[in-house]
Amino acid sequence: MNSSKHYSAYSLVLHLFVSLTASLYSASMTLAADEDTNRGTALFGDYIVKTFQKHCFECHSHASGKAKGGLVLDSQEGWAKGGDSGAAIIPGDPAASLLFQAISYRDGLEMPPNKRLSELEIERMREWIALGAPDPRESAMAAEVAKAASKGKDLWSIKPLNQVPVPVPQNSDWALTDIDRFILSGLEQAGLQPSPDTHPATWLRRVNLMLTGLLPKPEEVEAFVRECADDADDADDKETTRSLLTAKAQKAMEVKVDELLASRHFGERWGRHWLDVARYTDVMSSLGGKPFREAWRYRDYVIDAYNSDKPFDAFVREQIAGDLLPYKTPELTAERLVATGFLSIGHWPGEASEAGDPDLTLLEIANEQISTVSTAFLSLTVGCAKCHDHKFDPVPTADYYAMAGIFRSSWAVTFNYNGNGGGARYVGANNVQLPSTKDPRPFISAPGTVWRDLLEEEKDAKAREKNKDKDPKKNPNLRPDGIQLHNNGSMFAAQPEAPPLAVGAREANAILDENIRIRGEVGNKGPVAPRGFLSCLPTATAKPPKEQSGRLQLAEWLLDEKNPLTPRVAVNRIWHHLFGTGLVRTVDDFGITGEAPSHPELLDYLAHRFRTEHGWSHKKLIREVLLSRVFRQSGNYVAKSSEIDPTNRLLWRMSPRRLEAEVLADTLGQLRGTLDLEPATYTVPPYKSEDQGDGTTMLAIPEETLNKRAVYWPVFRRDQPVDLDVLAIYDYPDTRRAVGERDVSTLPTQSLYLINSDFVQKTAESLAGRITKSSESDSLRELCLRIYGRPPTAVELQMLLAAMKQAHNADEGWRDVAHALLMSSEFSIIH
Amino acid sequence: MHHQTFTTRRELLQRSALGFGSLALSGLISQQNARAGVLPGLPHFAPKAKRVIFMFMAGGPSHMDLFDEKPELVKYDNKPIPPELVSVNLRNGKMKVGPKTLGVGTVGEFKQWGQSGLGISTMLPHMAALADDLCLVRSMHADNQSHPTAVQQWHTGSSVLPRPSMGAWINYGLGSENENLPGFVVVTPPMDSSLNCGNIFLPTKHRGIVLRDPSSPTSEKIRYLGTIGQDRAQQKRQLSLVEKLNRQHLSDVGDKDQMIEGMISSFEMAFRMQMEAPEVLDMSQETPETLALYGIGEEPTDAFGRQCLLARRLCESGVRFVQVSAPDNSWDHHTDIHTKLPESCRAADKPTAGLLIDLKRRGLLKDTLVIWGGEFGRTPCSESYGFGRNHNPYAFTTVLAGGGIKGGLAYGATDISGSESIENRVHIHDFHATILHLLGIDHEKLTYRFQGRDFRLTDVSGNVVKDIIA
Repeated sequence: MNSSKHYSAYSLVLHLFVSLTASLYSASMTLAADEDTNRGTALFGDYIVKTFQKHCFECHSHASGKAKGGLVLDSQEGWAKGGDSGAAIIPGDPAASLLFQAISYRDGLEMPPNKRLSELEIERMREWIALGAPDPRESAMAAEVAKAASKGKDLWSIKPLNQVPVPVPQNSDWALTDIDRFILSGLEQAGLQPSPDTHPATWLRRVNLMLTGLLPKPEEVEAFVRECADDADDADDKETTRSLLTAKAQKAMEVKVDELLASRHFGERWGRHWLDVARYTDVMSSLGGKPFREAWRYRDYVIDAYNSDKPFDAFVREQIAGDLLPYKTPELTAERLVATGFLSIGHWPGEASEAGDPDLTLLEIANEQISTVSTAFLSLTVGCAKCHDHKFDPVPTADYYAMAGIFRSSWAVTFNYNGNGGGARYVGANNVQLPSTKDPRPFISAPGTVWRDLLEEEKDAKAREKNKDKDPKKNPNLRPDGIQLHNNGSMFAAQPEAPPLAVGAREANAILDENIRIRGEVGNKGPVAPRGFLSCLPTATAKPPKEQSGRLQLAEWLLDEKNPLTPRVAVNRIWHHLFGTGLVRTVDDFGITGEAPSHPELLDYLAHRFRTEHGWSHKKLIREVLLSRVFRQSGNYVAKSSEIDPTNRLLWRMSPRRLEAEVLADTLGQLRGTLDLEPATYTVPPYKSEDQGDGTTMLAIPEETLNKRAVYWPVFRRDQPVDLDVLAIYDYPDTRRAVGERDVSTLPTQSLYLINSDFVQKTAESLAGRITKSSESDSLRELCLRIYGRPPTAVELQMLLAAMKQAHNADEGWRDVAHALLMSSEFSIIH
Repeated sequence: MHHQTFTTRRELLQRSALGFGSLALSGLISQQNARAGVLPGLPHFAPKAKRVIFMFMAGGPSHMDLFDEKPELVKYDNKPIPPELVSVNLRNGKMKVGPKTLGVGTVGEFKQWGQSGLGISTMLPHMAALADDLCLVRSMHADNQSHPTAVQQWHTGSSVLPRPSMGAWINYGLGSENENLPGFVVVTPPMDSSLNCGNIFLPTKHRGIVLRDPSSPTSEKIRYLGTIGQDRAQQKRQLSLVEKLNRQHLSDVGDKDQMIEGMISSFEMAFRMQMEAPEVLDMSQETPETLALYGIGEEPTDAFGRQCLLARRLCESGVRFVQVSAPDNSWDHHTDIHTKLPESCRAADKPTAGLLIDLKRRGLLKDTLVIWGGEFGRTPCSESYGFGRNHNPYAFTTVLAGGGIKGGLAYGATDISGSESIENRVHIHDFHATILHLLGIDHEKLTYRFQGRDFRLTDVSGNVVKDIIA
């Protein structure tokens, strides 16, 4: 034993020498050691590596993508680091080497699991280990890590904002703004021409839909076209394409943009964009837990933030750390508490802690918050670093757990533990009490609203049955009518007299730094990662202080002057909503796997401007883009341009876009005359359930709610109720994660909705009933103005007149024509 | 109302061909069985099955009472069960097994069935009679002890993070056999179907189309599909106008706009679906004998029988993946197991067997994979608040039949009390890998790149269980 140990230590040293400095020092080695190594290396090359390949790599190699038990055997580094149970091979000491124990089928661990190696193979392995386990293979792992790291350092998105002079295009006539100069230069370099300006009516419909999500009224269209037109022009002439260049048109456009930006409906439209990113929902999935009953305040906060043009930096700060910001007025405090709802409305594990480990649940919550925050503000997928250093992006595991510590030290979600390894049960979003304010508007629930979850309804019925004989006095949670109150009394929505509540975050009772969890396994604790931020972004922000979670510092770090990602990501999101495609098309992925920007200089120009000149103002940036020449281009297809740039990345035209679900629903409501433009003051309606007779239940949303703009409809993370079908049919985003770019699918289910849904049919009927019936062509003109935002062309007029003649009577004719126009592609496309 | 009735769908299609645009109606029938939307390179090898019917027994049927007899338990029926008989995992899990914990003996009784002599409960006489066609995978195991996470893992492989459903993956890989119908249809949804039958990051068209209410024959089966008695002539006239407007729009915009072209073709597809789907979903032409086979028109089998018959009709018409689900948690027998388990069996047994028999006699069973099972199994011991079994993800049985499956086989085994799978264990990932394999898909190669990572149904795991493949 003694001699073997001595031998082992000697071999280990020798081995390290060999592998690290073989060529330099080999000459000075003793002959005996040299011989051992040579023999070992030969043994390895002839037999051992083959044994590994044949029997082990399937489960333990990078090539197979598997590292069972955390062990890979395809490099010296792999087995030296070993797996869950430590180093697999101790050079020079077969008996102490786990790998040797396993292949000898001793001590319980038996590898390979299906068949023992032959005696000869086992003996060779023993000998090779005894000889110091020389393994000359190049380290695959090291190479991979080095490659990823070098790639990460080159990542364009984390480099400082690059300010270049605005380019001077050859064509000096076209550009009106700096944005135009950037775009035009790009077009010229590719040999492309910009498209002509679109018709004023098209421009009007475009900005109306983009800024407010509503259609312009016929009289607004006609007035605007008149204002734009030179006196000599015929306002109805669709070919009058240059009329947007006149001083009058410029003035009219500016007035219109300002009017729309000032409209309350702007926040309803643009707030919804952010709600996609915030994975907003009112009702959690059926994974258990309570609905986010007070989440509507967060929704309204977002809408108000866009309407009041809250600077983006304040918007970021409030959502991450609103509760930690200095107190000024009760109103402001309330607003900021509500903002932290952002952290509370995630996709929480229902009862995920199967192993009975609350630690797991809390880490899962932190994981969701890390993913959401990093996607929303940085468009980086930090979540990957939970288990390993990010393979592509410059995010090491330590950074992940540095952020996890921040969220572990915060409390945005309420869990119950039933102890004794019983696991954790999600209870609800954390409720924060709001200071009472003078203006009751967003902070008091509608009087008398009692909202119940259906499941709870069922439970109540059972409880009532069970408790009908019991004395309510003995049970403080039992109401006189027999309904069992939940322990926290939260079954009922806030009653008028109750203090206003919101969902939101607070500091946790314990502020702590998180341990790295090796491979993301909760029980496998590595070193402590002090709370902090991503190391790939330079920062002057101080690390979190001992007594605070660090959310405030996290927000400051996101907004740090040296951080180029936050403004880049933010302006790219704005661009995406205005043009249908971001300058970086992968709006939620600015990492290595994302795409590079089509116009890097423009992106940085806008990012810089957004942060400095515009003081993080959305409205100012949007106004600038909307009044550019680029934005008034026609959406028409040009074959020659399309050959050069088929996806329109260089913006040689305005890409036509399908209306989003809410815009479709709202505009249909507008045309039907049923849209109630007053904001809803709360979301979760007292909906009723309808038993379908087969055990399934459908939720019926009251008419009153459905008549509101769709942004005020309740959002269900579980299956959408049938009444809200239009959302699911038209690509409503997944509310379980941050979504910056919605799918745009073209599916027959959408056509079926337009053909057969009661809502569309009723809209057609209502339109048919309400148009002024003068001459057929005048009425058709009105119909087109309402639906298309422009008068019909001569060809269209003919088609529609012919269709009228085929109908059995005029009523049917009007209805059919109106319905056809609603089904046609022009209605559901923004041009 | 103006009515014009057409005698057959074919006639209607032919007539409508005159007006409705570029719709290649004459080719429609021949295209019916064309494979639409198969990914390049698929199948990776010759498939044993072409389509799947997934019968989800929500709640977790009791494997030890139905498919995996445990005689030892009988000794401890309603008596304290020695804790060491219950596996360590279960003892240390959510359920506390103490000295007073009561065992639950076999509910009902077992019999040997068919030539294979498979042991199956007499509570499932119709299914058991088909024992020689069934493969009982007795060694299933999963990772979650509560319904939502377990159901999610059963459908998607993932317990918490949203991932595409197996039906969506299969639809993504193989598409529909019939281009007029979706490739993934959910007759009755499981809980949280947007998650469990969702496409998540796969293209939207691969998500499960949920038919909401199959038990009511007059209800819409696909939302907004319209009804058979609708005035088609009026609608056709209108759709021709829409098409004219769209074509005009296309030419105004410049003749090559993909979105407008997409809308035109989606209207054509919608029109074809309107023609074909109502007929597929209409069960009125089935013979009384077939209806009786599924237990339709009698209780307690009517509701599930309709679902099963619809599943057959959809499969027959070329839908790639059809899911039917027992009502939420209907197999979740925590209490009164002696009354409630036989009830659940009665509701599911005859319809399931009817479906298998019907598929077989139509020659469909040989290339249709039928999966029958719940998200987990149950415990050998009872809970304190009522007599029944708790959740057990460490052991359960899944029943397979049809395309590529060895019939009359019991694969794998659990321990003495049925608390843990011990022999030839099959994890959900292995199970998913095997299903894909039967369809000719290498589960490691069917991937989708999302946020910079290649995702797959089996994540980083999964071994094909070759021993159950014929």
